[in-house]
Amino acid sequence: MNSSYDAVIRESSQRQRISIFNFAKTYPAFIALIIGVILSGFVWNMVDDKVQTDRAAEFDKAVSSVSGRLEAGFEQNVQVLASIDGLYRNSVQVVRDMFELYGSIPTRTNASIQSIYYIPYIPDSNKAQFIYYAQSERYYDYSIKPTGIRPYYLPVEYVVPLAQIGNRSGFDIAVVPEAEAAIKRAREANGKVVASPFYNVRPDTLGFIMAFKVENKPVESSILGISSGSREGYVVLETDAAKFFERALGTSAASDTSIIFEISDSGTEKSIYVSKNHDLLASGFTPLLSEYRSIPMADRSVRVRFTTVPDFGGKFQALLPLLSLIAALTLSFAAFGFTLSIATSRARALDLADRLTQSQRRIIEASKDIIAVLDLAGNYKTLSPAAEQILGYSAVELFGKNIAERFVQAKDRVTFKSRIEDAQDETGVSFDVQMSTNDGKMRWLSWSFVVSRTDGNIYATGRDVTLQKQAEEQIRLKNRQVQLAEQQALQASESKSRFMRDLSHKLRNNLTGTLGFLQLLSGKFYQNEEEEQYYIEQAESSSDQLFSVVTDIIDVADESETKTLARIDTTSIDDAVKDIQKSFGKGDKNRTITITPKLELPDIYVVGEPTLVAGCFAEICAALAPSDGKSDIEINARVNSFEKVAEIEILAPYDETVAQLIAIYKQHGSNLVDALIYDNNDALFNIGLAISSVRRLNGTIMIDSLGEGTENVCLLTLPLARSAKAAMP
Amino acid sequence: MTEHTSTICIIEDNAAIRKLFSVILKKNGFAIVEFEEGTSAMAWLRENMPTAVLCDDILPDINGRDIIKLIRQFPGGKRFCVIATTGFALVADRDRYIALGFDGYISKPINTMTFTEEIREVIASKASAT
Repeated sequence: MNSSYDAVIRESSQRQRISIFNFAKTYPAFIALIIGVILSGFVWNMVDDKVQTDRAAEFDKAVSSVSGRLEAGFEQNVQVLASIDGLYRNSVQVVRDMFELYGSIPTRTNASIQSIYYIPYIPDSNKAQFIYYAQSERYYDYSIKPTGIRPYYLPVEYVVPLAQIGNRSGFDIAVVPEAEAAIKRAREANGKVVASPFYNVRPDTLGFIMAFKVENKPVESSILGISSGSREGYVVLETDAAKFFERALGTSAASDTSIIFEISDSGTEKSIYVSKNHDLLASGFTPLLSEYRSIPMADRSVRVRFTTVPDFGGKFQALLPLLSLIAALTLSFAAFGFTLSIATSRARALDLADRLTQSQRRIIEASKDIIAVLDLAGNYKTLSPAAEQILGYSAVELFGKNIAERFVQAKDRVTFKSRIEDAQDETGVSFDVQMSTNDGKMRWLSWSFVVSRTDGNIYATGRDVTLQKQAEEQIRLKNRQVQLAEQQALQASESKSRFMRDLSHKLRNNLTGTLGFLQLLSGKFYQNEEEEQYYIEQAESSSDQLFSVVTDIIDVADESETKTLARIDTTSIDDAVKDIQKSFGKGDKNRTITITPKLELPDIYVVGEPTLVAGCFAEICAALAPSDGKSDIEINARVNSFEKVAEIEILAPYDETVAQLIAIYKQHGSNLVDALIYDNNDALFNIGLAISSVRRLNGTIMIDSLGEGTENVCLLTLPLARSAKAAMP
Repeated sequence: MTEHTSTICIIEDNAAIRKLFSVILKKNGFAIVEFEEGTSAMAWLRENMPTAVLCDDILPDINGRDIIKLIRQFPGGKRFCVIATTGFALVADRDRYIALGFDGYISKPINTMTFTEEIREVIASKASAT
């Protein structure tokens, strides 16, 4: 189980799900959905339009293909007639052989052309003459069929292919209404090609004719003695409709399979020809597209109905708009779902962030430590309510203020600034400092700073450690008091020991004299009375001195009687100074003390153990020097031969704190242990130690401050001892 | 350096004791050279080597510990027979004086009967050691 703070908050936030219908948070998804649906409609419409357009184009292409071929077919027939027309125009006379020659060519090359006729217009009055003339053209049994008298006749005079339909020779096509109507129109068209409706040109053949009027030149027959006269005639092209359409349509194009067409006569609306797939219409499907087109046929036209086949364009094309719609809708819903997911995720993330922020805010507000954010200069940007409890200032009062303004010690402001400047990013800097509160009191705060130059902030936590510091100070004070008391007790003990030693020495010496001479007297180790008397006097003298020692036992402790005091060691002042120079040279970097000895005599010896003398000097120097910074202490020494003491002068630069402590010492000199409560830099403690050391050395000490701008001074006297070197000649 | 046989140098600031030692040792055939203070004794000892030196530990100008140190620094100083005469009578005191370089130790008050013999023993012990 992940017990991290973030995991706990995250877990609690995930229990709440955001409803899809929480429109305030999910509206973007619904907007996306609506847009998607609308776009889907556009897509569907667009695809459908495209499909329709493609269909129409394909349909039109197929239709145009068929129409074009039909037109070409009709035009081809027209061109056949036009070529024959040229024959008549360019020839003086067109006789049978010429007609058959030119007319047979198209009939052989075009299977749909049933026949080509030349049909003169024969009024009834010219019938006999015409028949005669026709017979003269080797139509030996020519006659007009059907027989009967009619106002005029339109008999087939020339016909090709003669071999296949020679029996049509003489047939009066005027008996065929459709043909007669066509001939009448041809007559009026004055050379232009006309076409008949579709009719059975043969009993079993549906077809049509095209005709145009020609003027055949008069025929003079000198043999027969007759003249045909200029005759009005018509060239008629008879076409088999089915063959015509099949030939015209030719090899089916690929597009033919996509359409169904039905050709009907424009005038009669009779179905003439249908496409091979026409039976598909019987299935009852509704064609996608249909169209009617008129195909020109000489002076008429045929009407063609085109429709699309079932599954025109393919099933896929038919489904394409629907598929597009489905795809677009699917994407729309997918976008909806995605947007919904993002929206809900974002909402959850925002909710989680909000919860975390609230939780952190609760923790900050509940914390008894000051939690603050400073700018890189140390000015408050924000801080927790604990600041008011600890410092007595509200957060509003401290905003924009510099944290160092509340530092009691000026040196702490400098230290804070330098440590922040030197701090590496994201590395903690710890700093204990005394700060002033709103009610004028002082509190110790233990600050921890994390500098983030990337953020431009210093993240700080401050804990009130006043009680802890007070307890530490009490402990330190007690330790100092104990040390000083021990030192004083040691001093007293040494004084006592020294007294006892001195007493022992004097007693033993005087006893030696008394007992020794008494032993000489009792052993009669004298030669004469004079010597005896001498021994007695010596014994008496020693006894007197002994008595004096006993009665004056308290005076033996008088430190001014150097002659009677026991001396164990002697110490050179020069050596002592050198010792303390070495010890101060190894001191901490924040406090540098240099000793400058200026000894009048290079060889001044005082009574006392070297370590005690050096320690005494060190304690005095430590007491007079400020607690930090650099101090240069001067030591002077001279001999006072009269009082047989070495006078040592120790001078230190003036320091206000030391001066104040010197004043406290002078005020509480007799009760220095209790006065240690005022000692914040161990100056009083060191003074106490120095005094005790001096007393152990049987010296005197005076400490004073000469005033601001001058010096703090200590005057010391120690019993003088002659140097061993001075004892040498 | 002049060697003085049967001569004992007494360094003692107490006149009565100095006289007592002198009387006892003279009666036992020793010549005596007396000094009240260490400085003058050092000056004489630098030029003269007595049979033995009786040295008090506590003197007005210099203590016995410095005297023994200086004597041992003389040329041939290790040959000097130096005996401490002092009021410190504990065994530890005796050992301390021997450790300082004294050849012998006599505590005060002395036994006049055995005083000379004790000195002779130290002299003999010193002579056999060197």
